[in-house]
Amino acid sequence: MVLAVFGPGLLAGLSDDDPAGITTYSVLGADHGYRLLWVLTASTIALILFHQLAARMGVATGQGLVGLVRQRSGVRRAALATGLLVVANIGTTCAEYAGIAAGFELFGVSRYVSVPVAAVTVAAFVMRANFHRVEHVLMAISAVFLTYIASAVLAHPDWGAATSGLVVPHLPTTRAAVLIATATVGTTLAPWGLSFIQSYAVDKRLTARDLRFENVDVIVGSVLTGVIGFFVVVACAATLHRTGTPIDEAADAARALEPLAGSMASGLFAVGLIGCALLAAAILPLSTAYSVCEFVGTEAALDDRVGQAPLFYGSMGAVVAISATVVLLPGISLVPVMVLTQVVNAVLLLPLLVFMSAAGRDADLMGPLVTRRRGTVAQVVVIAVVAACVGALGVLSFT
Amino acid sequence: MDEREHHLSNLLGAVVADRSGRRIGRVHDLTLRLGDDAVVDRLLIATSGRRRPDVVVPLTAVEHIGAAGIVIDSSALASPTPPGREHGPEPTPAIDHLGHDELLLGRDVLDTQIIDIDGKRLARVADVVLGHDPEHGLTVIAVDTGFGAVCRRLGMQRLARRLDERAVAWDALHLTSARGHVVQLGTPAAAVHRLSPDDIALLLDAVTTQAAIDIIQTVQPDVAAAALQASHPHTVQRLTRALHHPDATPRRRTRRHDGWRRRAPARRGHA
Repeated sequence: MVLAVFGPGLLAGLSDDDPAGITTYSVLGADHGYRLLWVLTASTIALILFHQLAARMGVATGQGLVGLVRQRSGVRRAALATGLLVVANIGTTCAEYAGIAAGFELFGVSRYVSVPVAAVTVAAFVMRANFHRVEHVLMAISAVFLTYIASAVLAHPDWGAATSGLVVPHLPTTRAAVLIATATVGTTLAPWGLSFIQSYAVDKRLTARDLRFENVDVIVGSVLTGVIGFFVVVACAATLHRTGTPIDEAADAARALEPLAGSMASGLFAVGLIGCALLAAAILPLSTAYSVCEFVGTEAALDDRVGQAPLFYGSMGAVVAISATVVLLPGISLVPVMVLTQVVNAVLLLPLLVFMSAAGRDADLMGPLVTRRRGTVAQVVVIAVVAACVGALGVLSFT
Repeated sequence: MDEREHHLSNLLGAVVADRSGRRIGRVHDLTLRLGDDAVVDRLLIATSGRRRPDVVVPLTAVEHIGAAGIVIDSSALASPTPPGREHGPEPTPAIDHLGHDELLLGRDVLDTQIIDIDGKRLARVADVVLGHDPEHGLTVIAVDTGFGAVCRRLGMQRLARRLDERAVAWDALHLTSARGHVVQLGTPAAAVHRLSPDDIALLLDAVTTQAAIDIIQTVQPDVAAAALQASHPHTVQRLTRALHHPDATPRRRTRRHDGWRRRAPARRGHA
């Protein structure tokens, strides 16, 4: 029973550890050592709160997040939310394919081979397989995250300092520290993850009876997300921070690990990068397709055949094709794409959290699954922290 | 009142004035009474500066609906409220005091999901098409589920004209919004009461578990049994589990409140 329900929380959580996330964690560890690990603890708690709320809203309403925005806030706000989600999701999917390219290049495979093969494989598989096959394969891919644990252990970290950093908050005072802390919260709690888990819970036909197991699924998924982030930070803190080696992206970390922790650690880090990129490269287009169909008002289910749900599979295929093509364009820099994506995600996240919290408190909408007082207080605290982070990001970006 | 067809999206937010042109407020919502016909009953108006409706007038007070807004008979505003609420304004917002067969078109129908029973599909209401019938007044004819209506509402008229309307007749749909679903199940003329078991099976597959249980408990037992037999095995498993374990699916704890089914606060909720 528990295993039958498992899926939405694990996939939505673990896909947050995508190449952009791994890069953020790597920079966090390489630049600040173990001191900012507590940010991971805080963002994991926020992830649990809002992923549980999203799953509960899916069960109570039978609708995805964008569908619910259209029902409660009207077609204009839903159009704005969908437009921003699509733009941000395409940008993030570009980052996933860039991660696939960088990961395979560490093993000497050209991006002109790895990216098209990955794009075609992901699209064909999601289009042809049924819901349960897709879910099982994606969860199997998630197992690749174990490589980060092995990679961290091989780096011989200072476990005492790591544990202390995880639970004792050190308030960052420098611009770089505030930026990386904000980015860590932003990469963990992403709009596409919220929209995906709600739509996926609906597509999986979870019921109120399943919710207690789904809550466990969300907790396990979110904690694993935090744990993976922890080991990435630890691996980089134990090696790159100690030697003062700066990095710009996750692939740099994999390369830099080799002389410091051995070729095994470096190889495992690269395999993890490819696996997490593949997982997110499958889930982001799916999340986009769910959102587009909910906005337009057509049915969307993974069990549908391509002919039954042309918009669903068409929008999914379009996101894959656009993202893979952008990554393969010669001479293009992904930095502006990533900056735009981060800004759009930040702009979208706050109103979505406020909307979700308000909808969760609506007894007419949620029935017996309505958010109680303690849950509301916790959500308001998370929203305030995210608002402070978005504000800090805005101020620091323009100063 | 003129006899054109109207779209609900054009009426919501429209300026309401009296014959002399004095502005009263804006249309907040329209109430729909589900009987043998789907008749629009009352107009909820939010007077200037208010976000919630604070004036309610019967539709009989509406004299003209046009592009510039809605003109109403101001005597409906000035006259004291007589017993019943058919002929005069109500001093308090009617949003919490709907009749048992009444729902709000903007809140409970527009942009909500419906089951198109003839088309056998789940769709979302992009607009509600209203027609004026001299005998009944303003009635709901159909809902438009096409993307053209969405484009029209977003101001993309040119694109909207290129896209076909996807109309679903009012008597061939089932509402899935919380209030719409409950009111429809309680209305003898609603589509669900004359559906074949196969069509009910379609409904059971499409709606949430609680809504499916409501439907099973509303239709005749033999029809419910036949519908369950015709449903997808996963749906049968889901519903059987919920029906055999009443605690598993939270029951609607409801109390009657002036004809409005309202849920009591849950004793044990989820944080």
